[in-house]
Amino acid sequence: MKHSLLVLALFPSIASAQPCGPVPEVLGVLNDVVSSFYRGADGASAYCPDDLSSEINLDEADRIASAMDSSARLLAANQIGEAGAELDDETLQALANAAALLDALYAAELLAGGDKIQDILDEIHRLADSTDDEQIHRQIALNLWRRGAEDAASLALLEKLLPTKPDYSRIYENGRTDIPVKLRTGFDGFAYSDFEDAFDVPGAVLTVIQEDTLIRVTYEVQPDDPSLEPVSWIIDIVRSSSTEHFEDMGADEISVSMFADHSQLGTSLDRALEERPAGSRGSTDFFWVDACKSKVFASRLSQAYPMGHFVFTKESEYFRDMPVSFERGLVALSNEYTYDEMRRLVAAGSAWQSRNYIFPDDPGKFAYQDQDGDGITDSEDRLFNIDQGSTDLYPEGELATRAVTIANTYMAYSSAYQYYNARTESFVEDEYRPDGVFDGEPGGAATRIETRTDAYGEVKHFVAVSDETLKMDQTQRTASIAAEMAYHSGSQTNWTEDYVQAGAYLVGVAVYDVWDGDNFRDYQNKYFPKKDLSDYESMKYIDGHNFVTMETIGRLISDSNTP
Amino acid sequence: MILLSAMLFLPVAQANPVCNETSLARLESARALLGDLEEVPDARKAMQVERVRILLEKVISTEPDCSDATQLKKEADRLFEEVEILSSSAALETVLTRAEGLVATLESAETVDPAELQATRFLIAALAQRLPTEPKILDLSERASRLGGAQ
Repeated sequence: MKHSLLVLALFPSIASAQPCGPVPEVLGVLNDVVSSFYRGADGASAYCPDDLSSEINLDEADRIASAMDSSARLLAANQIGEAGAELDDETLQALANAAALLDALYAAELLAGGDKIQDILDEIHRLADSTDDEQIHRQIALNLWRRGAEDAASLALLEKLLPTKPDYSRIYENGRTDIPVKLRTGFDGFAYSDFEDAFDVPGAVLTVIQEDTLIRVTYEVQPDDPSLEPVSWIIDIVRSSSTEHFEDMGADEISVSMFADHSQLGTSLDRALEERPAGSRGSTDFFWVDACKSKVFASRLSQAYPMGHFVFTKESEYFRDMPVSFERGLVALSNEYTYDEMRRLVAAGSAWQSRNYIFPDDPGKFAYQDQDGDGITDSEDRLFNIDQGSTDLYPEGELATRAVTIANTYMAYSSAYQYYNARTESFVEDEYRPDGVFDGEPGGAATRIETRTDAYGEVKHFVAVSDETLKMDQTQRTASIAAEMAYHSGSQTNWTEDYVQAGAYLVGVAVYDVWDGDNFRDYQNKYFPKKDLSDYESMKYIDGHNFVTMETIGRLISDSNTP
Repeated sequence: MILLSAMLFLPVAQANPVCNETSLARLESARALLGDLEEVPDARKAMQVERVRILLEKVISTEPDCSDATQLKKEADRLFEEVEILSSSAALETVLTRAEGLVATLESAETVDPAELQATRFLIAALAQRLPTEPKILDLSERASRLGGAQ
């Protein structure tokens, strides 16, 4: 109790006790400390932290922390850190809450330029050291990244999230130098990739073992650094089924893989993830996800493989790019490069690859990941939802993260919403970010969009998704979100209302066009009630190449106005 | 390739007293990579020089006083700017040639295979997205759009 009394002394207004319920004993002193923290501020809500098993109110914590002076912040941090460090792994949400409160205090002290910055940071590290829990470490590391902490302890925590180099101890396990590699692709990978050209380099021998099904390349690379051993890559380029892409994850033999195929707008890895090997979660394998805008896979992959070293693409990826980049990646691995060096090598004189890859050390990936599956991307998420994050693969909130990211991709493929062939209408690529889940009404708005500055300092549109929308199937959910995002985007232009509405409707139709799905009539009635159109009739207005163009929007309006 | 020629005359055999054996071996490897540069296809020249730069950075980070490495790194940096343009242009040309071939094949076909047309248009769209002001790509885009209806 001495802890809370100390905080109480800072806030005389706390004298009026709130009617809180019984406190779980396991929370020990932390409850008293947090309770005092919240109740001590003027105008504080009736927050009653008698159960720290749910997420605390961080907005309020920020307000309270900013009102304190440096000494009070440090005192609160000492108490929270000490009480939090005494918790065990049965109370992980309480521990996450404690870490988030320390972040609020640290942020306020940084903003104020106070003299207790390092002391509060030490408390954060004390809390991190008190647990081995992966989610708590991730939350703390993300918060420290957001605050720009660069001390050794913070960088060590961040290294787990942003590894600076591949796990070479895994790749060259037991000193091996003959390294098997798997490149999984499909029909188009064999039809349109130029493996012969990419591996027409000294040291490489390409053998077609089975036409359109299996190519083997042996690639001997002499590292530039004479202190490194020569490496022999044995690359099997395999035509794989949709369930096989992760079957080598964590396997003894294969530690370097590439998936090189169509993205199917974010769904082509779903079946393989569902079939992934049990016990492969801790894999640190190097895995290049070489599909168009493969960032759309990041939320799901980062949950299935939190320690995985994935390379994602930001933009479209042509089959031609894939083997060329992969060959360069293998040269980088042979030379035991860092990811920064690998990025440079892949980009060197390659016309465009420098802009298209998100390597594992790139914090840009946080904008697509949602490790605790609460619908808020890691880049913005200061407080993890431990229950959601412990869900195996499809926590409810992740459905929102994924749907918003995919909906943005749909829009970005449509020339009406994207820079294309020197025609600019409305630029949307990466302008929309997931923003959690809100309590919606049946039949009400699917989204709530708010514009603000993101963790990278850029102004973005944040899209919260209604819980009612999450109950829909994937197609209707994504189509509805896409339509409302497109409506929001169209409203930012000088388009007429007709164009805004028709364009938004067609973006959702494009989702149905690619995926199929149920309840099209509901979708149609909600987003384009002006004209009764079946899915087939609606899809006539989608250009298969550009999805939605100004021309197709105009045609729909014109037809709709014709009796 | 004037810069390259100049670099190859940098002292090799004379051991720099502040470069240890490991650094000297790395320096020798860097020079060998540069020496091979003329034989390397244009599209890979920038990659090769980047390898040299990374290797030299390794030397400099472990032995900041190894002046041969510092000097060679400066030259490699200058050379990189030169070959980067060359390699980028060669890389682009490869893809453009492929796209032009695909469009020409489709233009001469009696009936256009929708899947081939789609794949070609995706390629051109990807190129256009990356290099929006390249006239050849704009021309290809227009030719591809004339090849068939949007449906």
